[in-house]
Amino acid sequence: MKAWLRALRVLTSLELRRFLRTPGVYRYLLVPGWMILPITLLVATAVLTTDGFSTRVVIPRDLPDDLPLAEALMAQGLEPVMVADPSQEWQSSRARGAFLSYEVDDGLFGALPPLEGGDARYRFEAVALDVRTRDLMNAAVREAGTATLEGMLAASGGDPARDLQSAPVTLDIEAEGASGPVTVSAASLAAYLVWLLGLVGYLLLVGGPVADRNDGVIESVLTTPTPPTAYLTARVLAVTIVQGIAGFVLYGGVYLLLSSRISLLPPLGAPAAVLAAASVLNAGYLALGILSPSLKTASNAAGMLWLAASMGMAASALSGAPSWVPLTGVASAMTATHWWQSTASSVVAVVIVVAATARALDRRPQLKIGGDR
Amino acid sequence: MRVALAVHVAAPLVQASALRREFPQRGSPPLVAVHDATFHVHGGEVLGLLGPNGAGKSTTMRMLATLVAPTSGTATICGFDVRTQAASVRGNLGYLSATSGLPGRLTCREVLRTFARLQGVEEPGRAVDDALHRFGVLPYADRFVEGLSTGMRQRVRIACAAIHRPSVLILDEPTSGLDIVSADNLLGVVERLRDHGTAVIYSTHILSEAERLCDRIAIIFDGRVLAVDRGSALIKAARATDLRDAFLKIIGRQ
Repeated sequence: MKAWLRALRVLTSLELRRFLRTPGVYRYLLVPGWMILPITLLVATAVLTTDGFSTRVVIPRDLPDDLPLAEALMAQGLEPVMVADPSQEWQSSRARGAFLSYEVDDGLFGALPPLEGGDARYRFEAVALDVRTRDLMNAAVREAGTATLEGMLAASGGDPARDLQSAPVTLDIEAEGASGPVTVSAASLAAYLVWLLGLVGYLLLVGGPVADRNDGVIESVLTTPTPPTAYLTARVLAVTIVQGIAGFVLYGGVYLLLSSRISLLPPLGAPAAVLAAASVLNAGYLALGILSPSLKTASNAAGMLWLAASMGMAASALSGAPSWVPLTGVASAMTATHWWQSTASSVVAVVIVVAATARALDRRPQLKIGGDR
Repeated sequence: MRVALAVHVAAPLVQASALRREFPQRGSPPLVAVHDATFHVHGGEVLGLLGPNGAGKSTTMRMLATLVAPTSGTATICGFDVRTQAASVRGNLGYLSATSGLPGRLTCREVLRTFARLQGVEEPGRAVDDALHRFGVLPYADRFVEGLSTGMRQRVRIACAAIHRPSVLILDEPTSGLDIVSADNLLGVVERLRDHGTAVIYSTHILSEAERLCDRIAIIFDGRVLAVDRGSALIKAARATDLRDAFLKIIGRQ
């Protein structure tokens, strides 16, 4: 095992160095960027189009003056607009957020001082176009509520600095159900990333093994005590690391661009599931590169594999296939447990493919590695 | 006065016994590439394999290098069985064929370091420096291997094969494609390795190389080892004038 791990470390480092010194690799790594860019721009354009009225938040015109909500909204950078019917404004898409209705409970403030808990005086039903607006609206409501409480405490002879801290009052006024026109399913995004990374893997991994086989590099490595499984695993791992870095940069870019508009934080386990699924494809490409008689055959077969995987993921997403299915399960994984199931099944699939390829390497004469007899 | 004379005969480092390899053929009987080859090589000895293309030299060497499993028969390298103890065999073996390659986009030093680490050399840095010096690659240490001449690249290949100072070195037509000077340099390297006790199996089509380098020569034809002996003994046994003549007579072409 120690020798296996040493060989894995040495060969992974070797492959990474070779990747980093290949100018074409950087071109391939830009492929996901080029492919995701139009979609990002499309989404960004849609979001920015709605940004034309992005600061408008409608509030009921009959809201009592003792809650300085309009001022608080302005303090948050939003534009409060008092309207008679917030629901109508919201439905006509002329606002980024709306306080649709409210309820007033006089009990709490009537009990002051001392503050002994209870519900907030105002309970809002609110909607927002996106998470950021929702957060700003919540902050505004808290600020307005706190200002109101401070005023009332001061008027009743209390000390706002002391009593507000000890007061078990919560201004639990959430804009629940905040939703907008732009929603991205984590599973769909994961499947899309696997599809993109699979394309990168195809470009990086199909030609290399064929060239190494024809150039006698595999033969040279395998006449050292290196186990074939370590060699194959190292190649899969090196490509997966490169894909991981490329995916991280790509996702980071999209996140920076759109995170304020769309909830893009990946669920726990999703990145691992995406990379594991991509590594299944990598293992497949490697096996085809090693086993195919020529580069052309390997390229054709790997292209078919990529297409089949893409269709499998689409079918999985549409039919809600189990997440424990290797590779395609990533398209239907939705919970943390599902993500880890998908990761585990993909890793098992990689192990199986690598082991089968190593077995095939033991029948090298048929693979024509190195020279003739 | 009685004198006790003790003669210590070391066990051969390479021992092949009835080694056979068949390749399955679709729709026809299997092709027998090597028929029951039997030979041995001691440390500090060079065994030459002479034979025409397709005679089975490379398959024999690849079986010894654990790249091809024998169909039957046995072979040991330093006492380790090529079938069942492949990793140990590879640890004691250096293998270089005309088709052996080096990973691209690495410098000579990096390639050597990689192979030293794959071979489990304890101090790879020192082994690399030593190999760069021993094989005359020092001036090119930090150049990329793909930028080297064919001869220099072959030196790096042999340095990789021998970086862990193996007891057995298998060289399959190592001078193929080399110019006279490069080939001569490489033969000098092999001679030095032999002089340091390495057992070398060396296949070639160039008879002058075999005459210069090989302590014994195995003549292989159609997968069979027809004769194994010293060059001079082969010439004498075949009643030939030189090694070329002996070779042709032994394989039945004269």
